[in-house]
Order: sequence, then structure tokens, then C-alpha cells
Amino acid sequence: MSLLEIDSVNFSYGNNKILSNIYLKVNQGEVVGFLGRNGCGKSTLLKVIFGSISGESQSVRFDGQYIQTPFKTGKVKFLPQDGLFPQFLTPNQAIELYEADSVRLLKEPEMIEYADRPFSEMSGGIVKFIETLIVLFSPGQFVLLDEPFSYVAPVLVDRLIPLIKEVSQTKGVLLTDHQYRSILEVSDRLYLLRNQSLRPVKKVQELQDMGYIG
Amino acid sequence: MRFAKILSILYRDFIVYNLVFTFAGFWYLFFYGRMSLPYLFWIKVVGFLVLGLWYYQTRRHRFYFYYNLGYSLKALILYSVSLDSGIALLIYIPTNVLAGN
Repeated sequence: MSLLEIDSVNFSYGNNKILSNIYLKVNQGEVVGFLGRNGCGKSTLLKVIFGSISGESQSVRFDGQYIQTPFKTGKVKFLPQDGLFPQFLTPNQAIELYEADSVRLLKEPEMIEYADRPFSEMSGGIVKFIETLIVLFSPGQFVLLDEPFSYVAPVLVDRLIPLIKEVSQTKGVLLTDHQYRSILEVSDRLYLLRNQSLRPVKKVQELQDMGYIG
Repeated sequence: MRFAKILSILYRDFIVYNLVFTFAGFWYLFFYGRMSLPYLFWIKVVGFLVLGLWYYQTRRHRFYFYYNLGYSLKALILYSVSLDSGIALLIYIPTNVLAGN
């Protein structure tokens, strides 16, 4: 079982400290979720782990080995918030380029229906759903998902949760979203990003105590 | 083959810039000859910098498509510059010969 560890993450935007001494580990075979208010640094943390941005300091390790730019290793895939694939591509072309598991993906009705339609001709929710599926079933040991449930219809969110669970049998999944009930349902472990630090959450009550939910 | 497809996707992002500047250069080179080469070079450099800044400001999120494929920002810049320069040279060299320079 592989292990992804993130240590000593410090990140600031100008004088505004966003992340302070963050430590987190994700095992292959588990789903780790984290929550946080708007602008608290959730996406930033995922991007630092992915290696697309750098903070004042960070250490990302795979099985104890330090990796400077994780995305170059191909071991980690990332779903950004703002759309992943060029609009003129079709899901089939994206699957081919990402070398994703097409046999598995084409068992999903939406994948069959939209396989040869450009992303530009789909609704935002369907695009997000299909992008998430392709990232989940692409090669790699770890998957980072930034708001996979946003804009997605509840019926598709209900379908996405078991799919994330299925993928987590063989990969480590780290995800964040504002739909905290879905995050609670899918996660084996949960954290709250608050005051620049990650705090473990065991009970929903703790989210209320720490002011994340009312 | 996969790499060629990725390059073609990358090229689509600056095809307008590439074609406009390359054919403007063709026109200059054909009529003004070799003396226009330094100007063409600097127009290309400045044009590419402006294009890069515009892309970075407006389409930065698109980089994640390439990052997931293992390509860094440096690699993308290198491929873009190579494609742009390669296409320009393919047009400019025969133009230079045709113009009798």
C-alpha cells in the first residue's frame, strides 16, 4: 500500500498567511475529506500537493520519498474546480489522452450518452461529473478532487459517491467540497481546515463547535 | 501519436497568433527581403510574450489538463515556442529563397 504524505506546508498570498505547518497523510485504499470555509485555502492545499504551486515550504512524499513536482511522476491526478478538459474535446478523446479505463467508464450511462459530444455542448454539471469520472479512472495511485460535487445534480452526486468508494479500493483519494454531507458520506477520515491548520474531525458536532456549520 | 495529439491541442490555443504573425512576416520578408529578419524576430518575441501573459492571466486553469499528463509549464512553453518557430521557419525559408534574397 502506497502512502502520500504532506508535511510542513506553509503558504501565503502576500502578507496573508493561508496555510501554516500543515501535515496530512493519505493511504492508498482510503478516502480523506476536508472541509473549510470559502477562501480558507482548500484549493491551494490541493494544488501544493499536486505540485502546480509552491509555498514558502512544503514536503510531499510518496512512500517516504520526497518528490519536488508530484504531477510529473504520474502518480497523482487532480480535478480542478474550474473545468479540466478543453471544450472542443469529447469524453472519448479525453479518455484516450488520459489513458483512462474506458471499459469501466463506458458502463456509466452518461459516458455512453455523451461519449462523442464535445464538452462545450454539455451542461456544467454533466461536464463536472464526466471530468470527475475520467480523473478517477485514470492511471495513478492518488486522486485529488477539488469540489467534485459542485454544480452536480443530487442524483449524480449519489452516483458519484459509490464510484469514489470503488476507486478508493485501489487508490488514495483526497477531496474537498462545500457539500459537507456528501463529504461526510464518502470519507473514511475527515478534517476541517481552519485558522490555517487542519484539524481532525470525528463527529459532526465538532463541525458545529468549530463554527463550520450553524 | 498521443504526443502529436497533445501538441495539436496546445497549438489550437495559439493558432490565430501564429498564423497572423507568420503570414504578416511572410509579406514583409517577400517585399522587404532579408533586412526585415531582425524586425520579424523581435515581433515574434514580443508577440509571444504578450500571448503568454494573456494566456497566463485568462486561461491559467487550462494548464491542469497538461499537468495531469505530466507536462510542466516549462515543457509547455518549450513546445509552444518550438511549434511557433518551426512553422515560421517553414514559411520564411522558402519565402526568402523565392524572393531571391
